[in-house]
Amino acid sequence: MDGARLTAAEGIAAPASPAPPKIHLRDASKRFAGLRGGTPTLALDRVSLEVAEGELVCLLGPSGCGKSTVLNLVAGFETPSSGSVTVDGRPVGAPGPERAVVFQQPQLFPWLSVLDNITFGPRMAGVPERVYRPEAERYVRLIGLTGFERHAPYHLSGGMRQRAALARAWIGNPRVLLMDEPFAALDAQTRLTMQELLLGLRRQTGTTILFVTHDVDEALFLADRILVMGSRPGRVTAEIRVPSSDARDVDGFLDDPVLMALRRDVVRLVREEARKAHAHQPNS
Amino acid sequence: MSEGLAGAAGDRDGAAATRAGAVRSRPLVSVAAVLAVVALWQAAGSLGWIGPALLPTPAEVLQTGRELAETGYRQVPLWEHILVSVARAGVAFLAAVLTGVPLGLVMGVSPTVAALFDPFVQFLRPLPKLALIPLVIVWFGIGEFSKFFLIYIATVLSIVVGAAGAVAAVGQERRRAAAVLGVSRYQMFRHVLLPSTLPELFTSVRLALGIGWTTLIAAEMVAATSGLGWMVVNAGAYLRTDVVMLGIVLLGLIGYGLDRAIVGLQKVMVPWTGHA
Amino acid sequence: MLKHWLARALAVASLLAVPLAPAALLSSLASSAAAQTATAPAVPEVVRLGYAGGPRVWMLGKADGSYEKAFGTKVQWVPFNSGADVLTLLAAKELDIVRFGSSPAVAGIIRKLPIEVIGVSGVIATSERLIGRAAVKSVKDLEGRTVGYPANSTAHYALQAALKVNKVDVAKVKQVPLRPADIVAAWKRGDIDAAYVWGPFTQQLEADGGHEVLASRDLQKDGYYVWNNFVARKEFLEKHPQIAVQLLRVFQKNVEQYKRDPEGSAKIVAEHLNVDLAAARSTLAGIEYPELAEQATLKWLGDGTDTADSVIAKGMKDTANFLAEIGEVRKADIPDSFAPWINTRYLREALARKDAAVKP
Repeated sequence: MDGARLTAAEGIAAPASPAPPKIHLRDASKRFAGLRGGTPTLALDRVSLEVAEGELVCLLGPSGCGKSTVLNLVAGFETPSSGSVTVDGRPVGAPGPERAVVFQQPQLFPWLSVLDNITFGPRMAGVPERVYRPEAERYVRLIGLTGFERHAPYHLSGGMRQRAALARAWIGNPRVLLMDEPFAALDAQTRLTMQELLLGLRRQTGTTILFVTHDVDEALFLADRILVMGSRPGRVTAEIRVPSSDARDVDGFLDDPVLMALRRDVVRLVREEARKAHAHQPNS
Repeated sequence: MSEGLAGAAGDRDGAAATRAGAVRSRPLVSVAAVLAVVALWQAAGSLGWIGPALLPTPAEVLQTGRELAETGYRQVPLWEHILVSVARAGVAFLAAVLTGVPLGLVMGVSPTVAALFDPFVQFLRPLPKLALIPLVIVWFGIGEFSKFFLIYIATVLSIVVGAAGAVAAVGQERRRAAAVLGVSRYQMFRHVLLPSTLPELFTSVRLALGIGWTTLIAAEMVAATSGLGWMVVNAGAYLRTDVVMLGIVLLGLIGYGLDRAIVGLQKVMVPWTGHA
Repeated sequence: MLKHWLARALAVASLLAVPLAPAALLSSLASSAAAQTATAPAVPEVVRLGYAGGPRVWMLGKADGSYEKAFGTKVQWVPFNSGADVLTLLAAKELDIVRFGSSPAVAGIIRKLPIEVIGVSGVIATSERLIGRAAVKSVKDLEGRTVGYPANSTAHYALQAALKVNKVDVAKVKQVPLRPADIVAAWKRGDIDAAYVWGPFTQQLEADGGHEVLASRDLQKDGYYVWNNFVARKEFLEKHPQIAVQLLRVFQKNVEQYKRDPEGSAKIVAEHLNVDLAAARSTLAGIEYPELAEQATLKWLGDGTDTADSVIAKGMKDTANFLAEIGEVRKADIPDSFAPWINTRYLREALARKDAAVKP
């Protein structure tokens, strides 16, 4: 482990920035009841993390490390067993449009057209059409679905569907955007396009993003900061700051020797966590 | 867009659907199979393998159909028998849909309501409806209501169970996707759960229609003097197997037609069936 | 064999009115294959007798096992609800000999069931009656009212005859086919004003405010005879003629026993069938029992040479014409004479051995 670039997870200090953290987990644990009276599983063990305003943080780790649980806590799908989860300093309550989520599957409503899917949130909130209509058209343009507004979701390709899901999440101007392996089901080319699209949108909106992935390249390409997670119990084991996060492009990424060196380290870290998870005996 | 077009075929088993040739020849195979069975049936009678009282030939059944269409069966025109049966089944079935779907949906949403109704629904559902006939006569008499009730009770229970199951089958991810868009409890039900359940609702309604149509026989055993089900039972009493066969063929054809009608309605109302 | 399984399949289909033919086909293929391997013995393994479940004299023989003794083999008693069920059971070869009504038997013959009438078990005199509420004083009063009857039964036939004899406008009578037990239920609810049915159901209606409007005997003067007969499958008769002979002899014994001691017989029958004693008494008394010797004359079945002119042959023809008139059978299907379906051979053989003691 290269100490110069990697910091041990324990005792991560709040970034030295004047703004209060957008997302803040303090010693958050999550315990799931065992099946049929079995021993409960500790999914998260006293996880603390912060995401600053406008930051894009990737949670990286093997499956079962609890990275989706972190996201579910922030979204409000689940409540922590102990510790606290706040967004803008307020404890997280029921799910709502201020904490938008993009899932691995687009989860578009098949009975609605692409446009009606995108405008679903504002319409349910009673926003007048003259307000949401131009917004929706702007997002349709931004995600490149012009001409497909009236199409049924199931007539679109997987990538196009996920674009619509992105627009649907973004149109409500969320305080934070939570993404749960949103591009994992897509083919490699489409995934790249989607990643570039995501960065482009983010540059325009400055939205704070918490992004869950198990793909090292994806994390390095997207993130300002990567939090590597280990499993059983799930916890943050390492923090990686990714340099030169502005004006990133695919070609530059592959040519950048610093990034490539960092990639080797991260891969090694993730592999180690995966190996530990694999050989692990329950200890709680 | 190619995957979109494949999906638009509206067929659930995608593997078979991709082989367009197989799809096109499928109706042909069905028609050929039906013709072969009818030919075998005719041959069995014509060649004297089986006596006409035991198995009337298709030609005889056709002849009987012509006779009944002209002179009626037991003083009642054939079309009236058909109409009476369709009306009986139709009214009871509609009532079952109108009451069963809302109840099932509410049971699907509210565990309390589900716990309230579930024991009765689960107890009544597997009961053979023929066993209810004596009770139904004692409770409701021998009028139309008894016939209505038998078909209604047979269909409504499976619709209730189907509707409640459809709500339960709506995935957690979809509920969460809706929740983060800020829907209220009512909006969740009206704009997410309801449309999500429609494909499955259609399936259980289709099944219920089949059940209702087969219950017609039991219903028309209660003091009926017209209707296809009564015609079959009464003709059976006199060993008029030609009339029995005609009745069965008519019951089958109408049942098939009704099923097709629901499938057609589903294509119009729920074009997203089969698309998650 | 093909006929056999088709008959079974058909019986199942019409009983359930659901085409379950494939299942019936499989099961009957299996059973007929088994039957083929054994050659038919002189005495069948089991004789299947169909009975209506009501109080009738031959229930004396059922109660004391005298049919088993006379046959020298097991007897399986198969109950049925009405004549309608009998036809399907016969078509399916689930019955060998059955005691049931004249009109369903005629309907079966018209539909070419391979069966023969081998004897008369009784003439329905007062055991089947039209019971009405107070307002129904005569058959004519049925106009504008509802009357129940068991479909394709002697009672159904008698009801039609009664309506015709009394010149009732049938368009004004609501006739509802109901199973006998359902007639009682419908009566209790007030859904029907009258019913033509047999005992013990007639007594149940009377106990609930009904009274007799007409009995089947009242129709005899107008030429409408309603009787019950012993009917057997031709195939069974050819293989086991002695069973038919023994059955008629034991039946005659039962009749004699009844005539000697009506009250004691009614008691035995009532106890055996678990029905009300009064109902058994009145039903048994409501049937006329012609002697075997009488039966082999023109007055009943004839002696085999003059059967075509016998009262029963003519009565069957009348019944057939009547069924065609009300639309239950095709006119064209009715044979010129029913004599070919009346076989008095067994009757005569039973008489010839009349003096010999029935096997203890």
